[in-house]
Amino acid sequence: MTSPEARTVAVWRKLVPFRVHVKGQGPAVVFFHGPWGLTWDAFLDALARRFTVYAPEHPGTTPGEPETIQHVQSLWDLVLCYDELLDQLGVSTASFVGHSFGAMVACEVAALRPSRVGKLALLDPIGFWRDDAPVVNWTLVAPAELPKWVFHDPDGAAAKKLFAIPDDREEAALARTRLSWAMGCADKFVWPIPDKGLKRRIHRIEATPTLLMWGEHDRLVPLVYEQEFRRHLTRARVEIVKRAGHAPHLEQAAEAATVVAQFLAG
Amino acid sequence: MNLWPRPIQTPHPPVWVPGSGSISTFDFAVERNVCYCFLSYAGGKAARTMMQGYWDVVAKHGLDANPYRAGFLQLVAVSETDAKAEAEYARHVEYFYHKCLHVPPHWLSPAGNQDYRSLLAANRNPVRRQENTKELRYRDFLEKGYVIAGSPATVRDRLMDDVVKALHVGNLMLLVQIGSMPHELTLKNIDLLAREVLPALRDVWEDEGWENHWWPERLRKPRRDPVGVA
Repeated sequence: MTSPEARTVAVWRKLVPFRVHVKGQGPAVVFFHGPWGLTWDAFLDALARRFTVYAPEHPGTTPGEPETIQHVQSLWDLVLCYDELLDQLGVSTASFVGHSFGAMVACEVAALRPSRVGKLALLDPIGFWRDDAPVVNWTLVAPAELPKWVFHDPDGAAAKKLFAIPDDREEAALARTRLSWAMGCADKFVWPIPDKGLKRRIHRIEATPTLLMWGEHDRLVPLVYEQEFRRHLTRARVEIVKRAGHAPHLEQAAEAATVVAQFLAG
Repeated sequence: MNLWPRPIQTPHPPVWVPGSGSISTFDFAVERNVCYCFLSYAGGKAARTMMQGYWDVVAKHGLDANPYRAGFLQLVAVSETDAKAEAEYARHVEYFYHKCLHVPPHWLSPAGNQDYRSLLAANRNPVRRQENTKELRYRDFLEKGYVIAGSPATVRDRLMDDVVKALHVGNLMLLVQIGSMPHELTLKNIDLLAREVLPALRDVWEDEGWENHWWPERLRKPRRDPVGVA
């Protein structure tokens, strides 16, 4: 796996410098990461074999730039920041892939300008709310318990990579801070209830070919939300990934990458 | 004619800002020249690093080290003797630390609650002790400084050494009703505290020439001890 190129693009009157990881050749794919920050992983690397992958870091999660998030005050700001970013990157058309919180953002950015979006792949997206199946508020879960909520196998390599705390004292403090801060930066646009009005806007992307991918054992965003998304995106194709929780692209990277790449290319 | 009510009070009422560990609150208090009050149930002994951090910020801004810039919360229980204090207060102190603090530790600082600098500082140097207070007993709470309890002389010395002097604090917030402590015992605690402990502490900073600018002006001076006058 070679490292992606890291490009910094400042938007929002230059107050919001997005660091974007770029790798690959072919049609553009934009990846919106989830609430625990971005790491370049096997899933993205596999996509980069067939596509030009643009993976921006959510404002505030870029190392050394925590205060950026203060300039993005609402979901509307965030959506417009991404719109400016894609303009500046010269990405006039692209497919969007989003995970969890990032999938909600992908839907919102797509709904702003549907003509920009070729296809949409949503991995365990949030964005709706059902009283009978509440989305688990990951912020109120003990940090040590997070792997159990996010992963089917909390002791597996994917869980360790995302949540492991190093032994070194200073490194551990930095890792805890990074994780907590990344969640805070996402939570700002999510809680108390992750229904921020997507249901009133999602009709704008009902014609966009969409793949809904769900980990079979998602404990955070129960599988019933797959039906919720399909009520609005009636033509969406559904793919359930076995032996995966809330992050199928991390836990079953090869399988998820194959399915997503085929969908995007087809 | 449009009348706007304006909140004007001269002199301006004193402002105290509570903090529980965010280092950015030091800046907030110092930049506005208000009193910073560290609220902790862990006692003076555990607060030294944190309060030193505050005084460092005060010094960095070129302000004087007036002890009245700071407040501190301390749990206190006074009886006639140390042994009697244990007999009277032990179960109430244990009730408080065993049964009244049912908050998951990670809820005290959920993601997004603190600014980045404070979050990093807290992860490097946790404000809260790692120990489980449910496993501690009365004598542990005393030894570790969570609670200052005992005879008037004991409480006086501990307050003076571990809180007033060690933290350089002018404003004490003394928590005198602890856990299951009943009304009558609380009254006794207050009475002994006011009569036999506080008079020895009250003037310690004024004797050094400090004035409490963070106290209502009309109540500052002249000071007449209201206790024991009759």
